[in-house]
Amino acid sequence: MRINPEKVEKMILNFLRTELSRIGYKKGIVGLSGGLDSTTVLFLLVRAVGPENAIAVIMPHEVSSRDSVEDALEVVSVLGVKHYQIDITPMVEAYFEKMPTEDKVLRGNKMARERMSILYDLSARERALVIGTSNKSELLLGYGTLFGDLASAINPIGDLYKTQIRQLAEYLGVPEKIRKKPPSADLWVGQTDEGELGITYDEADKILYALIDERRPREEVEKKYGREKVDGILRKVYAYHFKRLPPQILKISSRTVGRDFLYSRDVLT
Amino acid sequence: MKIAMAQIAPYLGKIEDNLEKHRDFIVRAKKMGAELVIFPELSLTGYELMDLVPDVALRVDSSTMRSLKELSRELPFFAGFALEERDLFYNASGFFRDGKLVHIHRKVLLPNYSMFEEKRFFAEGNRFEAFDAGFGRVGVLICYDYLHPSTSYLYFLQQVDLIVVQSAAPARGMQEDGFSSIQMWDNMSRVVSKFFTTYVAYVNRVGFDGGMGFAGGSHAYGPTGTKLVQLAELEEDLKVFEFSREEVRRSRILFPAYRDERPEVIFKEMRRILNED
Repeated sequence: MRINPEKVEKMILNFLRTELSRIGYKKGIVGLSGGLDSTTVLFLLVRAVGPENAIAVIMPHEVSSRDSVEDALEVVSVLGVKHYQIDITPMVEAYFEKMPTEDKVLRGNKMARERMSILYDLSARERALVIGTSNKSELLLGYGTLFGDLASAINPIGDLYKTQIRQLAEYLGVPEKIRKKPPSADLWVGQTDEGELGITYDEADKILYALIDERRPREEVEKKYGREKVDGILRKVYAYHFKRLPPQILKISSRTVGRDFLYSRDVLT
Repeated sequence: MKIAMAQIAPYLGKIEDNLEKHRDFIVRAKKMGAELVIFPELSLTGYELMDLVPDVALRVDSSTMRSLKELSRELPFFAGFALEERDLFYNASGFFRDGKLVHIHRKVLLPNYSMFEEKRFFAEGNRFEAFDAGFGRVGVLICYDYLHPSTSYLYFLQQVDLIVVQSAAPARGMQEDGFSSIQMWDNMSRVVSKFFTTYVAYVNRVGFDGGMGFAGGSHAYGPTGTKLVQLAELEEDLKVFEFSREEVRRSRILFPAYRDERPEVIFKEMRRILNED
């Protein structure tokens, strides 16, 4: 599952340039958490269109780790890109004052959607395309908020597993500090992806790669990694499939959006 | 004779823009001394057409065809397009020369697995017919046609000097040494050119349709199985290679594969195999 980072970089840079110009935009905008994925995407965007056409948006909440914001600010200054820093605590807490809850997932989803809402507002103000930062591991495991961090116009890293992004990030010169810290959605204090998922990305990626990319029979993969782990992963893959799809549309007419009204995403743009 | 390989990124569904791009590459190829230009699969329409097929398909009597014929007075060329004939739509290739449409190949093997669903949108062709292109005998294959060695074999039996492969092959299967798909096409050309003693010109497109990136990596092999030219991966490129009928003759003296072939035995055996249940 190792990649050739040079070729992946070339493909991603071509993709970013092509899609931006097709849509008629010069700039891209990225929600920057200070973690591996968004930092890697910002590095790629800067290489594709130059620092003058890349915008980073740092959107901490009061529960976000201080390190995240500091790392994000460091990335922004190293890359020399324009950035916004917008504290989402007032908006999110204004809502929870009216609708109180201690449920961490509800609170986390609200934060993710608040960030999405800000990104899309800035996208229109800046005429900058929202570049997605969900990786293949997260997409397959459904580890993301629908209409939150999963929302974007184009996603250059959605077909790369977390472990492959680590390899790409190293090649691109993403600071070691960011590459080595434990992956976290940072939606509550002490949250880590691997703690929540109950498996390390190293292991999850190997299982997903065998099942999905190589289409190896389940029994063979279970023999190697254990039945419980494989079961747990497959349950997530199917249970959260809806997060990867547009909403289900009831078919009534002879030609229905999303079913038999079939055009490329790039039709006549 | 120099043959140019035009590795372009067509615009999806925009025939006028693509026609302009063909004109541009033909002019550039001519400056490089080329006497023939090969464009990739669906070069005039783009690949991921889906429900656009009936809207962009060309009829042989259409004005776009007239423009293409006119353009062939500059240089002869192979181009790819959706073709409409009697309310059927084909993924097709045309050879244009001296103001005429000389030959059409309709893609026979339409990929319909994994990311591909061409059978949903196109009718299947049913012929692998070599033709005289002026400089030699040529057989045309479109993309998936070529991944079945049996199709090249049919052109081998027709003693072609050149197999033209027009492709819209995505870059996929990332591995440490690059995209495995690019290696796959190269492997096929190495084998086909050597064992069927023919030139192979594989012209793939680049660019993106709906997030699917096309690999490029176009190449040509000579009839002894040596690579003559390699184009860039993932970006537009234009390069030429030298074609010589004499070189084909030399390859068949070195390796008389056609002379020693027993097509009547193959035919008899195929009949036997197909009749067995």
